[in-house]
Amino acid sequence: MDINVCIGSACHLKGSYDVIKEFQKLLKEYNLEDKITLKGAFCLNHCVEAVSTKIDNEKVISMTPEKVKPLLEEIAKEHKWNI
Amino acid sequence: MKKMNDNSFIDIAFDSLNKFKEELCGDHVEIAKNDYSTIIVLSDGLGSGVKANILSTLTSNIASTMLRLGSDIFEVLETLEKTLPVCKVRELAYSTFTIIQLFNDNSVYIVEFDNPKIVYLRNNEIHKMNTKQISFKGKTIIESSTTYQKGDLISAFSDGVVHTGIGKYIYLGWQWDEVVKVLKTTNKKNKNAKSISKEVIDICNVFSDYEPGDDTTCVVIKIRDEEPVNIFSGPPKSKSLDEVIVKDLMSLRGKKIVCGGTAANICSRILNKEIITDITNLDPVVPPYAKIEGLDLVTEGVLTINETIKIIEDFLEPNFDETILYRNNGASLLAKVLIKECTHLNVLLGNAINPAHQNPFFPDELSIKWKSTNALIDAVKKLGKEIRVMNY
Ligand code: FES
Repeated sequence: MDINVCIGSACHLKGSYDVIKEFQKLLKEYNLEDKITLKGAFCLNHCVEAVSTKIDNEKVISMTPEKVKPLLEEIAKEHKWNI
Repeated sequence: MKKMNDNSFIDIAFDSLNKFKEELCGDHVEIAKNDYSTIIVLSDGLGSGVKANILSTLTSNIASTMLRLGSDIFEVLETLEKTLPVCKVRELAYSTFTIIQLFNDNSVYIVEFDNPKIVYLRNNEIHKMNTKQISFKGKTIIESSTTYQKGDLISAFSDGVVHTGIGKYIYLGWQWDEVVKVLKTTNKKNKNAKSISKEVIDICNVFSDYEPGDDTTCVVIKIRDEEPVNIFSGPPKSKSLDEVIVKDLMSLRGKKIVCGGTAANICSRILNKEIITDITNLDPVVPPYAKIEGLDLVTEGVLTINETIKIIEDFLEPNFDETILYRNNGASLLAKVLIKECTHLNVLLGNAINPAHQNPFFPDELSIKWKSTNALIDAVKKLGKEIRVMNY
């Protein structure tokens, strides 16, 4: 699974850096690094909903560092991964 | 700065320090060009301040203009003699000069009057030129000639350089041979003239404890390969131009750089190549850069460009910290290419108003994309590069 975090100008200003850091930290903690690849994407055309994030080819969601944890837990539950 | 057939490029740079507490520099450098040659004149006016400034400005302007228009050196000397105002105190009309004329057929003609001896390096060693002394109304003038080739370095400096530090850190001043040593080591490390002239002048500044005892100027000329750099920034006005701009970019010689997410997405679509980002080394200020096969560098737009401008402007100030150029982020990479490699910059400028950025909730920084690109162009101009802007 790919998680694409937008690193375009707008999203960067609204905190891509912190979102990516949080993802990196939790992917490691939950041992999900071999299951989920974190990628940077250029402008996903949803600048107003920064920080834009896209899971595989699903629709673009708006992320904040606080939302990272619940999101990963939800994905893990869905896939029945033990974290 | 003249283009020749074999893709070699005359890279000219100079830096100066004013004598401590003086507002004007008594040294002056003038660069002129005509169809067949490039002329560089360094002049050091007698004394310091306004008087010296007028003398050296007049001298270098007269010499460069006359040579540009085809006069020979004797006509120049004659005119200088008649024109220079005579100093009331010293009853002297006096300004030293070094004239360097580089012809398109690769011959070099150098005339020196009372400046420290010119440095001509080939393969980083002193190169012997054909030299003769001529005398003009009791003054001794040295005339030298040779043919130049790629890799040569020529440096002329005012006596402020060799007098640096007298009475301070270096008892006898900074000796000519020592200056040559520094020129050699910096020449080895740098392709561009500007980094070398800056290094010499920075050292003078330090040796004189930031209180230069004299006006101090160093000119550096390097014969090097032409290295064009092409930057595509901002999406074009209409979608139908997307393909044109990418094709144009790909057809240009030299490094290809894309600044801006939308521009990057356009390239990726038209070249049918994926954008590969690297988020392992995150920088809090500059957003990550990326790679697209076939392009040399892909960066985010506005924030990266603004940071790049800052770096270039800092570079132009005294005592710049070079390590900034070696950081692993988009702005440092871009600034390094522009400062150290680029001889000519082509900017492929898309003029679309980014719809996302027009959003009123949007941070101001983003609605000023074209302003940033233009500010970048201005900064690069200050580096002495030749710039061409193509609008789409
Ligand atoms: S910059 Fe992230 S969606 Fe546009």
